[in-house]
Amino acid sequence: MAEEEGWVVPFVPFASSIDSPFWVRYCREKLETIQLSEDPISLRASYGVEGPPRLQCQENAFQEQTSVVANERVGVALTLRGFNTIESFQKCDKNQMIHDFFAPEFLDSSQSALKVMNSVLLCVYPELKSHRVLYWMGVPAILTCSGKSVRATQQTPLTEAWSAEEIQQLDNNIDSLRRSNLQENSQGLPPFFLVTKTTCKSFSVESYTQLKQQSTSPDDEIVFAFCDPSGPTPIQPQQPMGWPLRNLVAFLCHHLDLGRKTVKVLSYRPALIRRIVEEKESSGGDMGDKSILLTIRVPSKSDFEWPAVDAAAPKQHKVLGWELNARNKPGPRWVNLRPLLDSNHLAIQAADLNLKLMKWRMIPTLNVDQLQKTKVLLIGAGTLGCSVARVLVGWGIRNMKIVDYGKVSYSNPVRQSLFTLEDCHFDNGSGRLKAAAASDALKTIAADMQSEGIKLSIPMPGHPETRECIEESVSTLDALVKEADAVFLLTDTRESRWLPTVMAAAHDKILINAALGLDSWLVIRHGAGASDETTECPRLGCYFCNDIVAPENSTKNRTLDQQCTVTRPGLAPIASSMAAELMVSLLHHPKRQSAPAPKAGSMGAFSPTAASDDPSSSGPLGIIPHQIRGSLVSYTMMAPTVPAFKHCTACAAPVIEAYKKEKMDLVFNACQSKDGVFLENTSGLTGFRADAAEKIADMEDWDEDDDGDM
Amino acid sequence: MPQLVGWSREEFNEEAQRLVSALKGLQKSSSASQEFLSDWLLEADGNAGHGGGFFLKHPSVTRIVRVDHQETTETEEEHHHEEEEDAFCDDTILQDDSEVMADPIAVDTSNDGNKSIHHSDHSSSSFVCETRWHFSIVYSNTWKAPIFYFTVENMNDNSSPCPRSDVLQILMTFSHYNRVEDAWEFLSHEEHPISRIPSFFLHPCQTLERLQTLLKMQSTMNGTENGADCSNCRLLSWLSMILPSVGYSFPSKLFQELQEQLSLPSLEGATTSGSEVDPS
Repeated sequence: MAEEEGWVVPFVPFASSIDSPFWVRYCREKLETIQLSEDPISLRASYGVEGPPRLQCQENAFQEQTSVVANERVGVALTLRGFNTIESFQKCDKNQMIHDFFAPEFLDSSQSALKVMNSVLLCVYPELKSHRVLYWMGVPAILTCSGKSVRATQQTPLTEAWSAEEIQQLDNNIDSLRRSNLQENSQGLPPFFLVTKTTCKSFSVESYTQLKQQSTSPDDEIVFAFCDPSGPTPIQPQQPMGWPLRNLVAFLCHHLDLGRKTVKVLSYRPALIRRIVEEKESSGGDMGDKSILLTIRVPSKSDFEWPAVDAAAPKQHKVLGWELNARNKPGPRWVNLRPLLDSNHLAIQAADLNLKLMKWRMIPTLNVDQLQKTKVLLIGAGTLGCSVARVLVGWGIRNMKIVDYGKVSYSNPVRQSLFTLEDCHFDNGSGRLKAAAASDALKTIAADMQSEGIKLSIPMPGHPETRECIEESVSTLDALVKEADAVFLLTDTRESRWLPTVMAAAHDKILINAALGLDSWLVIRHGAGASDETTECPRLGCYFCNDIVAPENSTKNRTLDQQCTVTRPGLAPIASSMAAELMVSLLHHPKRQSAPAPKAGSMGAFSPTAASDDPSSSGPLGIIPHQIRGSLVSYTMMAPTVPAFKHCTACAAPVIEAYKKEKMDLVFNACQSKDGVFLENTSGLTGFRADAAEKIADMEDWDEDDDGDM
Repeated sequence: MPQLVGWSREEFNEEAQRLVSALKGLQKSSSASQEFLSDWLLEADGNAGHGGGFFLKHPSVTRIVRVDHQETTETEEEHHHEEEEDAFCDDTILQDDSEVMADPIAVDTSNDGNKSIHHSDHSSSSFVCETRWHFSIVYSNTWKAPIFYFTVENMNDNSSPCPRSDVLQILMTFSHYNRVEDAWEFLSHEEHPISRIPSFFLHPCQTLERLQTLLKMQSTMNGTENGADCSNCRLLSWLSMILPSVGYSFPSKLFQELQEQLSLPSLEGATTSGSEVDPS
């Protein structure tokens, strides 16, 4: 007898196919029920016969009692071994594990063998914090010794060996078998079964003995069949066989005493019941029954016994079956579940959705992406700063830097919406730094917020400081302004607004200035950086353009009530909301900070319809006023447009030029100067006043009789 | 002419039951779309509260999609992912090289068919990817309409769930209708009301209005030909509107057949089947 007849049967391993809902469910169970227990968990999985060979684990795996296996699939018992640390996962001897799981049961009795032949191992390490799962699936199969592989001598497509009626009969018989199994609570197709041309029986020693006794003619030849997960594929010579065949053959040898015998095996690949759906309609093709009859030589029992290291020790069995990873290396697989489990991810999506719905339903030209990328600088983290930040978050602004020198004090939380009492208690009641506290608070609201708080004291005219101090503050603030797309000026004194105004003009940035009185508020957008006189639209004014005196130290000699900015609480949110909305409108205008304002005098009462006619309209978000002044006494608002003042102490051309040339000198001198003399000179205000005084004096000469009217 | 002033839960429940039975009754065919349709199952909706209700669930479907690949930001993460996986390899694992053959899970059109797929092949301008989809249809009290939920897994990547960006790309390959600049217009993401798994859903905002228009059109087209009262066909019409967005066509012949069947007066004792085991 030629030992080397035929060919070595190639086997195709299973691929794991674990639905992500299964993992979601597992992670939940882990948190709630399983916790730290490493006991094995019994679940159900299945594989189909439509190919390619996949062992699928679905969410219903956890429902032991009611879990349903579809009619065209084979149910499998899945044992899940969870690990609590990645080291224990790695260190665990997998070869040993799969051996101990399979070999003892398999060799013990035919019943236990049949049970374990239909079982799968799944090692899992859930890394819950990063929403990932590491898993390794093993489908056990007992291994023949080297050189003793299963060999086949003949391969025949079933369609050639049996008639069409016989094949139809076979299908019917298998279906009846499946149904009779239903009564025993075993669902789905039977993984292994005995087949003759006339009948089909469940796979067991008893049925085999029965059939053998009844068998009289060659037509009753018993064929050992298994559902082949490889599915119907065009048949090649030496066609690879499904993994279950390995254990089937081993069973024949160990429990049916068929070692060294030649038997017929049926790789059952029925006509397509389900198939992989392509996005186009499939053009058909012959997908009929592709079952294969294989004549194989069953190895003997000794062919499964591996010599031990010590010749005297009992022989061992080896079990293989751990799945290779996507690159065909023996290792586990990671599944990234972040899209499903990361609640931050969900929060971000939800916030985005909100804005996008607004865009979709109401304002199609809204540029949500731009908003998200806009870098905003908030100068001041007080009542105005907190409220502006809060509104901007709603608009999707995710890139904010906040500048403030102070600490959160006990009077702050009630009016400054980003702070809590916790912030005040910090450092024995000193309080947290406002800028940092505000930045952190924003991160607790929007999951993808990128915020930063910077402690900085703004150099102010009339407040002398050392040169070093000024240089440091100026360079930091200058860099911040330069980097920002929009700047909000939300401080509490007039003079602190001077330097940022100059910087924004020098760098030509959007700057929105908000200021509060006791019961009135102002929001003003500064004109664009100093521009030519020749442009059609005159440059818009800044906060200081209406002033004929330079800013100076307004804080000395103030009474207590003058030292704290006392305003009606409702003002800050109103002004802040206006300021934030103004910025968003501005961002949607093609000219941005150079966008024109409504003609002076045209803004009487606000009218919703006026918006579209006005040339200063930004489009869907309406007009963009230059300034808005509101009063809580009369509940009125007005929106004047004021052009820039040629000799403004903050935005006049000479000042800006001086800044661009030698910023440190300019700032230092302005700070040192008392009574604002330096700035008045630099901006030309002094000269202007002198001219004006002359003209008034000239006018006085006309009428010397009126001495009380001036 | 049916008004969509309210599509109540009770109406939805009834239509769902009838639709599923009608779909089950379809003869098996080789049409992928028809197979897809006939697989819808009726399941009990535990959340319905008052009086109970149903939702429709579809067994998972494996689909091959062809995507025009653009560089995604996931690239670096993927490489990391691979290196990390390989770091866990255990070479002591028993293998049987002579007998075992590597199984190509998905088709990589740029290489020969036998090579096992590696999912980070960004060199090709388009690639083929095997995905698994889970669908369900749940009635929403808020919207007073059914909502179409689904999740997608990338089978080339250990069945990892596809992030929104990938799903958008896939949907765009399905139909021209889906090629909008900002696809958030119709695709949203939230926790599935029953399974609690974050799922994508087609936003119902506009569907009610579109459905109204569609039904108006249908009524005027049908006229009083067969006296068909289409009030039972809302779910069917809705489904025919939704499916193309996720790449399934609804053959018009099939639609008419189902429409006729649903227009018949309802039979007593419409059964509900919540189990996949089909005793027939």
